[in-house]
Amino acid sequence: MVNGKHAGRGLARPEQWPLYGGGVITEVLYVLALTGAAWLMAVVAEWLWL
Amino acid sequence: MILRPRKQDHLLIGKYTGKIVIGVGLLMVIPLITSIVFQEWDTAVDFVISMSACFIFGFGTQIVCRTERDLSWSHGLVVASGSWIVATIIGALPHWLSGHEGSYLDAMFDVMSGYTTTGLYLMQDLDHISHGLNMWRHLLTYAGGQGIVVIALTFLFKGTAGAYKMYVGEGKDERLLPNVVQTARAIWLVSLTWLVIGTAALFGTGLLLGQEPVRAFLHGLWVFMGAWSTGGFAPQSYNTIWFHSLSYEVICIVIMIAGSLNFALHWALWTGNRKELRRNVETVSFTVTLVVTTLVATFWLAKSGVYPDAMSLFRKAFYQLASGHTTTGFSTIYSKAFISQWGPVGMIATMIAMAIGASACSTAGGIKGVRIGIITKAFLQDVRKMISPESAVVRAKYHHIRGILLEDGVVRGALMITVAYMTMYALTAFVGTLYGYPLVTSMFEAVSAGSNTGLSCGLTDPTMPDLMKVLYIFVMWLGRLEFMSVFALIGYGYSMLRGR
Repeated sequence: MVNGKHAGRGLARPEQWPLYGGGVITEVLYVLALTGAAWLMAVVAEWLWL
Repeated sequence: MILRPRKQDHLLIGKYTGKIVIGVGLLMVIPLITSIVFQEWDTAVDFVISMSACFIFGFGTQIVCRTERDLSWSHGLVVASGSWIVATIIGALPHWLSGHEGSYLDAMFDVMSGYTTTGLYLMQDLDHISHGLNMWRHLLTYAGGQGIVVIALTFLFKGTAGAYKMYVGEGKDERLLPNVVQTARAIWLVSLTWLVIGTAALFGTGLLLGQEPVRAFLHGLWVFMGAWSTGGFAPQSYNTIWFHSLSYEVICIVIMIAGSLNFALHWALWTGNRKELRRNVETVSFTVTLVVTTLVATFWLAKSGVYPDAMSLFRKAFYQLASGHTTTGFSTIYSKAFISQWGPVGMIATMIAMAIGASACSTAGGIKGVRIGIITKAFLQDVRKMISPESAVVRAKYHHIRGILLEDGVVRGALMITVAYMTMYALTAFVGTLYGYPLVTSMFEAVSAGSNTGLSCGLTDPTMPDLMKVLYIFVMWLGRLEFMSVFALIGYGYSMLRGR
């Protein structure tokens, strides 16, 4: 321990393990939200003009 | 006074360029194994020859260019830009030996397009190339997305100060971790984790679509590589329209956008800092510009009556805009149909998305969202200054991993690179018009090449003039490395001739 923190090298630190905090899930949800917004735009455009 | 480089400088640059070329040679092991597994002996021989060329050059320079000096900033930039050229010249061997390229220049065009994650290609009879060569095409773009210097840093370098200078020279300047080699490994960790998830999703979808398992796996892997690297290569000449599948398209959109995020943002999210997604200047900028360009294209296409219903509108408009904005280049629209159906408004909306591009320190190209965010904030700051009392001190900040004060130097840097991109797009389009191509077509193709996107409206093909091919190779390289390291290489060449 250094200054109260884990002194492990780079990737070995526990808080830096992949998927910690659901990182990939957050990224997927962000893209799906954008996709949903695009779908809504298409529905509104269909209602207005098609 | 310009100083002429000395022998020690040449040796240093030769040594590190050689190491990067060794990295390219090692990369060829994967397509070599692929061609052996599928008993494609001609292709296997092509890769043995090409690997030998890489190793002869790479290890030859290690013997000839012995030096213990570390890289300075100018050396690092010169190595980064120069190694991309050397790696393109040698990396084109498998393409050329395959017999699917019209000339060595065409082979170099395809390889530079792969490394820079552009996706334009001149390869002929793409639907009948070997699995080994297809693996090489997609591996080029997957590796190029992370950066060929990053590959070499991961396996072949110790974490010296000079290594960081090469890393910056490749257009990346984020340190995910204190050490640059650890940063390179972290970038690979993110990319490889997504490789497993993305390939599995596309493989499963391919099986559901009725593909046989081996084909479903290879297509899943290659399409993932094309999407994640924002490269846009696909195993079929019809690109992703070949699959005719909504689920395949949605998965591609997820992978494209994830691939276009800054690696520092990935790292922040993966280490638990989920708030970063909505605070980061790049994601805010990307979200706004993607929504606006999609809105314009969707409403324009609906008003024009090109597509019959909301589903068709959504599938065509959003896929094209997401592909353009992330600078991927996947398309579900034929190039001729794109010109005739989308018209000038649709093409300009796509062009704006491509020109802006996605995040810095990602696999994507273009001006980058962070610069658009900084310029917008600076503009708003100036407006606030004008309407505030003269004695008021108006300060602005932007958020990228941490809050950063918007200083003049930062704005100047963002504006300078933006102007450089715009000039490059304009000059490339101008050359296209000199060759007789219509203005909108040559502008579209110029922006596509310069922003490393790869969407095409049909200008790029093997019959295009050789000078245009050379120009596109140059702008793909310039756009990917973001100018400075290329200018450093040109300056190095100039100082060899005119220095004292």
